[in-house]
Amino acid sequence: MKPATLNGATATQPPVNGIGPYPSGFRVGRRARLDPIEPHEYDLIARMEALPPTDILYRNMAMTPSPGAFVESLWHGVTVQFAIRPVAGGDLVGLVACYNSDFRHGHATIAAHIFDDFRGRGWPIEGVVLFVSYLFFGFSYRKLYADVIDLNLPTLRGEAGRLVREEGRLVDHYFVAGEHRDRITLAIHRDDWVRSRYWMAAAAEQR
Amino acid sequence: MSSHFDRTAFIETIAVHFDLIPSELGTGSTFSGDGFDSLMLYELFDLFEELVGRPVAPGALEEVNGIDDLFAMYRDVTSTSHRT
Repeated sequence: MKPATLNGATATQPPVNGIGPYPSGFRVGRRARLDPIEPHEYDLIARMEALPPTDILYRNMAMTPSPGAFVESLWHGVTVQFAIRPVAGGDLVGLVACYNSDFRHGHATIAAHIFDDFRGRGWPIEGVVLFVSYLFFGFSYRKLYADVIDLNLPTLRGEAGRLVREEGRLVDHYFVAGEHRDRITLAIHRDDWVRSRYWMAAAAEQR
Repeated sequence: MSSHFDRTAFIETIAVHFDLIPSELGTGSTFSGDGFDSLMLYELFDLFEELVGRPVAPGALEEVNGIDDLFAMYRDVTSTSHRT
């Protein structure tokens, strides 16, 4: 089995289909960590989602739910959700969520929101990488989907980009900022992920 | 993998990794000007650490604005490595 590697570090990869050791630092990377969301952070999350252009491009898509409905919608259909924080701790810099789990067919949908101040810095993406490994380690998902507006489509280059496949496109599905936009469904396959350098990479470094 | 790349080789290494055309990199003063989004930046910083042969302190790369800034840091880090 190919060893998990990150920055030259190598470690024995845990079994993919068996029960491997549960690394103590599994949700902690080199630059980012995943922690539970604290209830007092709901207001901050609501403010971040209300900032343009997130207000029209993300979850609520121009709607302004009541405070109660906002919190309800934050957790509606969610299987797992974490705050992304700097590895040393502190305020959250974004969220990752897994929702619409279909355990019969082995898939779920994930979403990530990196707050405006931290967008384009690169390192908060480690929270997403940790999250994907967490989901494939803790659940029997075969695939994780992400639905994005075509305006938000990431550039799928490099090793990480090649792990993300475009598997569906609904033309003119959304109405965003005065025009119809496509909905693109991206997919990360378990088989691809567990063979990649990103599988359990952070945990491997800490053993 | 710690090497002694000049600017051309440094940029070419990055371009090859991302299937980009080397001549198109380094023309913008920012990473976004060179077409890097968050996912690519995350991977670029990992690649950078491989190129210098050791981890870079968290936060150090946050102040880097573009490929030329990154190359300047590469020179600094590798020259420090060679002195010690």
